[in-house]
Amino acid sequence: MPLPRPEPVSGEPAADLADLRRRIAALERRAVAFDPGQAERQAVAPWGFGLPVLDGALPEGGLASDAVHEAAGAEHGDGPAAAAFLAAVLARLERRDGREAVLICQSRAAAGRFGRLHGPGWRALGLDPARILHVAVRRDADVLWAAEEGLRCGALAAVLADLDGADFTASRRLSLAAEEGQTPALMLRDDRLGPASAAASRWRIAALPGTPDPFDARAPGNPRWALELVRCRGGRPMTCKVEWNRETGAFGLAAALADRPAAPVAARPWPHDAGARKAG
Amino acid sequence: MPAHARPAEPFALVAPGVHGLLLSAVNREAQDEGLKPGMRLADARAAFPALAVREAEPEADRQGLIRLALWCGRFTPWSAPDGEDGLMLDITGCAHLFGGEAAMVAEVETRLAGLGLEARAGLADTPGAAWALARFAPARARIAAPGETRAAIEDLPVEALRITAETSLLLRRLGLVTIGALADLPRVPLARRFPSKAQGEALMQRLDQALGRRDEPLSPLSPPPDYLRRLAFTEPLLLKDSVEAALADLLAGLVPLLERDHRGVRRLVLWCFRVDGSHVRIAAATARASRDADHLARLFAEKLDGIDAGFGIDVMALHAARVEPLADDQLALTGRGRARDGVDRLVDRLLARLGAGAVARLEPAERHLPEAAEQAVPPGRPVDPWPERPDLPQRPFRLFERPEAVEVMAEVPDGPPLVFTWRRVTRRVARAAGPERIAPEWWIGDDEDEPLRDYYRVEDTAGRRYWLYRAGLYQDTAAKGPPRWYVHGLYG
Repeated sequence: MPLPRPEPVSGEPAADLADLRRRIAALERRAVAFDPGQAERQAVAPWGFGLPVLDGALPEGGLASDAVHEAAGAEHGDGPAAAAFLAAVLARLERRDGREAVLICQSRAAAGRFGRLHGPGWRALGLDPARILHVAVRRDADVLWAAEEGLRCGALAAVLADLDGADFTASRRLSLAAEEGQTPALMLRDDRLGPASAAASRWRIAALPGTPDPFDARAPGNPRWALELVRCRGGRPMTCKVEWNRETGAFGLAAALADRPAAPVAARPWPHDAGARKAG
Repeated sequence: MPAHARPAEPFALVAPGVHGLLLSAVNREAQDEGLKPGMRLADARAAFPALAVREAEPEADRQGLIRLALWCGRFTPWSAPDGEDGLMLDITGCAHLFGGEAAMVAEVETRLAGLGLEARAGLADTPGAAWALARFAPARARIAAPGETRAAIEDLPVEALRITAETSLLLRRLGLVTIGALADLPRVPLARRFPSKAQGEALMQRLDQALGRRDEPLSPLSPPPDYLRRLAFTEPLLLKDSVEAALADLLAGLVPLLERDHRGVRRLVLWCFRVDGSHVRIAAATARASRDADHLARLFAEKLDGIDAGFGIDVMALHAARVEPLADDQLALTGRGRARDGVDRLVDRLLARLGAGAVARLEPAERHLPEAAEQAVPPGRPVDPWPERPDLPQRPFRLFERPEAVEVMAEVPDGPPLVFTWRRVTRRVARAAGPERIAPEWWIGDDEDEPLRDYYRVEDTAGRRYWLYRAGLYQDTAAKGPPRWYVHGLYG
């Protein structure tokens, strides 16, 4: 592919750097799939965590809203933590074009593993259960089919697929459908991110001891998770520990000591390269 | 029985009667030997020892007749079995598709003959007259021209009126042999001749129905559709591609009709009639009225795979079984409306492939028990809004269909668990909140022995969170046994 001729850059080193970064990001995106609707897509606000350390590791300052994002528990028992992480991410997604409904597809095995959806709990996670369109099917193949249909129709806010696992072909199909319908797909897997995948980002989640309730030290408060960004297209792998605020639905960095509440993010800017790096 | 398989030997079907086996049906060869339905088998064997017999299967016959009536949907959507050996087709508005009434009757007879069935068709303004013509008229005079019913049936015997044997015997004793003779008589004196008023009344009803003086509604097997398109093929279709193309043709014909009347379809039925006398019926439903040919075609796309064309499909019919008003402005939408429209279409496709019940929306229910606090409702109708932030303690976002039993070590009487074993792993509790007591809903169920539940939110030392409950109280151990513990849900 002929590279575009570099335009003369301005004298400001910081501005040059930002400009180059943007161009490289654009090239990387284009190398993945040529998409004429790209200009339109960039107008969409990034789907971020509101946490610089996380958003900085992702291209475009957040998750791509036309791609597949996978999460799995670090161990089998961390499945609910991964599910809650995806739910929290889902609740942060801005609605656009009047798209309201969220399609959640669950296989019967997944429902037996960690339970079916419970509306009041989703309300507490910050997602109005009335927006959920729930598909319960027997096989993973049907989950993937339904998710693909949902992505392609272009009328949904997002699609969440809860299944045992998916091979590369399945994740690639979902990616293409997500691009076609400009709809984000979240995949909750139970196979600890086993085989290769075409997902734009892959997350491994482990539960951490949470904070105590501010009014009752013996009661559970906010959950905390260890996030590992295993792979990210156009971004860099990283790990960090976050606390998720139940009241506000915001992510915060988990404080170093277990019994201290999360540090307010705005008060303490965090350098971009915080957190251990790990090649994925 | 198909023509090629019919034995040329005398043959009869037998059914058990009061005094042994009776012949219930005989073939032409047996008729030639003087055998008749209703004879005792012993008598028939005496007259013709080599008679081949088989047991009659009335129920299978009835089912076969229903299948045949459905297959006759290729001629008209309004078909029903009539008695034990007849079919009634209402061909109002259909004859022109076959080139007129005479041509249509010929077509029906030829088609049935092709299936190896001997059929006689009568055609008249009323079901009663058609019944009489089919059974009693000579082959040349079985079609009554419109308005000529009386003339067509007046020479037929009174038995053609669908009357009982006693009634016809009485009429013959009175010298009333033809329908014409009967129809001219004054009614009141005639009715007085019958032993019971009901018998006379029944005769008058049959006469009036045959002559069109009294209405006789037919009940079709499937309700007739509001809109219908039909395609017949000179060459039977065998390939899925051609069936798809034909479906597109049918839809292209149906959509203008719907547009004209500002209607959209909620339920479509596709009938594929095969040359061998069988048919396939596929239905598709939409969540909202639609007349978008592409969308409707996609609903069928999944199901066309399952069609077995057999020896070929020679007639296809598309019925709009349920339509609703659909204004034009509902089609042109922007933003939110377009997204809602898209979701409805998605739901249609999901339901078409995954089946009803696979897709649901969650609706809050005014119940205390967590498993009943929400209900899955079929998509397509609006759901009640969820309360903004409930005042209840936090609920788990995943709930087990059946609570899973756990082994628990807890403080008596109502302390939270300290250690519990779930799915064979022992977990130490780091934090816990509760109890939240949820009493059984005695005003709904009749199970008064259902124990109350004390729920605890629990976090183990690894940071995983559970929603546990104790069913029953330790105080009641003596009366009801020790309380049991369950995991009911999980938090993130």
